[in-house]
Amino acid sequence: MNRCSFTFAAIIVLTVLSCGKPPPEPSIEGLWVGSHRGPFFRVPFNFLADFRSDGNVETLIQGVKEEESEWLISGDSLFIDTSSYLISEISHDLMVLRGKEGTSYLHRPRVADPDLHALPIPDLLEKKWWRMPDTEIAEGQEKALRREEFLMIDVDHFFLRRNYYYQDDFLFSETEKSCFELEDFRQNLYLNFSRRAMTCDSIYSEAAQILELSKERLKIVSGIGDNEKILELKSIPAKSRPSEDQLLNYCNDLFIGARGSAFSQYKGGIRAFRAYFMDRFGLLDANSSGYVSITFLLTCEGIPGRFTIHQSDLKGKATELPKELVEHCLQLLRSMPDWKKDHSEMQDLRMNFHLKIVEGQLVSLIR
Amino acid sequence: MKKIGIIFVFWLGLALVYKAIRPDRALALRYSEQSFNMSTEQKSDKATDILEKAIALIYLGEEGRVQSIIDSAFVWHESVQSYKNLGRAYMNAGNFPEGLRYLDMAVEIEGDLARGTRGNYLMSDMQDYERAVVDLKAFEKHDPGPSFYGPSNIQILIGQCYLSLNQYDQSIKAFDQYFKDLEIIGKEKYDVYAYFYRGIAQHRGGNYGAALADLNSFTEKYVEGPEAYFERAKIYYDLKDLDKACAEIDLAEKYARKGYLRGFIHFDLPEEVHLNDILELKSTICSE
Repeated sequence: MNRCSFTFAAIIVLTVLSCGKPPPEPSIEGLWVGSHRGPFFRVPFNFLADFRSDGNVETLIQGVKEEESEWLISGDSLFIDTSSYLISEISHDLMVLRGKEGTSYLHRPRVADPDLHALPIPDLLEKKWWRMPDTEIAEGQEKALRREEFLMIDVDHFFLRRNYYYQDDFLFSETEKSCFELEDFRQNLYLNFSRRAMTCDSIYSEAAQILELSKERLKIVSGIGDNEKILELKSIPAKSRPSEDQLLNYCNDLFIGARGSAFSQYKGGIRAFRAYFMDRFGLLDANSSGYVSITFLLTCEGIPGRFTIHQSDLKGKATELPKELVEHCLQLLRSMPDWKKDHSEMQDLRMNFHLKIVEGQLVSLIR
Repeated sequence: MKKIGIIFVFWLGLALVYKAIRPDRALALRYSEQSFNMSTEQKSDKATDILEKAIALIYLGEEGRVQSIIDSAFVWHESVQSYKNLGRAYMNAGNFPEGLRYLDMAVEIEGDLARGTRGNYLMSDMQDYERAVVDLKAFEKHDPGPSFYGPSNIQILIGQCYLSLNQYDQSIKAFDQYFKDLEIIGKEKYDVYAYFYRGIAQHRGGNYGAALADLNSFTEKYVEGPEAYFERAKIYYDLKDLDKACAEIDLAEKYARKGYLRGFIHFDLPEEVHLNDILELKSTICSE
């Protein structure tokens, strides 16, 4: 009897539970991220679109800026201008569009925390180097490539990315200048913050969604579907940080830059260069003596940057000179007015010089 | 016995699997096997190739990864020459602490012979003439007879150091020694700039006659060297002979404009003369 009662009660409980609220119908509303490769679809390579209940679609990020297009949902199709695409499948996190040319897949943004606390724009835009984790890239059977990627975000210039490659013990370098103009960048960043996505280049082929953002950590998902990959960006300790003071337009590979001849690109040559420093150095700190050595790159546009600074005392031992003194040296270099702008070689040039400072006074500029 | 055999095979299997799944370790083994079959010369070449990359990065100011590359090179071969090369690169790049560390290591192994290198960089990169002179003298003493660092005679470098230290007698003494050494080196190969520098030392020491004689010797051998005319102009100016001073200035300007090819791109030479220096002096003393 007891056994029968127990079985009966269990059946009742299961029946009640199975009569719960049915799962909600998949909705088209909300944010969708689309991605495809190849020219078969009118939608951009990557896009972030907000599908509304009234059928309107706001495209927040589009791959092809020039092509302003009207997006509209009507019936079971998405209309982009005069082209229509059948919504052939829809689930909670996947929408499939079919057109004459092929199929495109849309996904829901993978935002881990809906209340993600985003930093204010200026804080993110603060100049900062980020390093992606090392990745092993197998190439051939013999050699393994290790790639180290760096990103820099800068408010005034560009979003720039560059790679180091290591193969066995040997280092290669490759530069990718993935950047777009500030106005677009800022606008997209605004969108990024409201919609938690970011883009990395001008055609948005590397659109990514921000999963986590703090001053020290930026976690993104890049790529869609099979290409999905999580990259964790970490700020680089000052010691191993690539020396970068500002982002510049480079003519050549960042790491090449012909060495040494840049003094000739200053009007009046080394003599004028030296006189400029001697005349303006003044006396900052009478207790400070030592060397400040500056290596920098002069771009083909006549802008100095990528400063590397070494400091030592007069015996050549490592020391830290007063910050104001070092900053003063850099400031003088930055504000030099007479770099030739268009030199025939159109080359970025590397150069370095040493300032010998005795009791706060510049006694010589050595090159 | 059978059990031991099974255990041995088991561990061997584990070791093989471990080796297979650790490509870095397999790579290291391959290198070490390879290195057993290489001659010292081959290892040295391999190390030199790797160090070249490190040195290129040092020059570019990209030092973040340099140490690991140097370590890689030294796995193959470590030598005094590599210390000197690294020292030179770091010194030129302005990283004096690292540069001196490597040069000190070279001195530690090679003794006074390596002090020529260190002295040279103390002189050219740090303008620390006092320490440079000590090193250069030690290097010179190490090998009796004329000594050279690269193309430069050591006595000339010592003379230039003393000149920069305003110790003119010592400077002149060093240049005198150089000319004495010419008896051994052979007079057909000499550095005409020894006359120029000794002329400057004589001038600054107040020996105008001797200074003019040296500068005349210079212009006899090298007619188109503007620096000697420039220095002679300064002597005549000190002697209040403005006509002669201006005539010398004109010659200095003429040859400087013609194309003055002595200067190096990468670093200054002591007492390097620029056209603007000449024009400045001209505007001061020949304005009428």
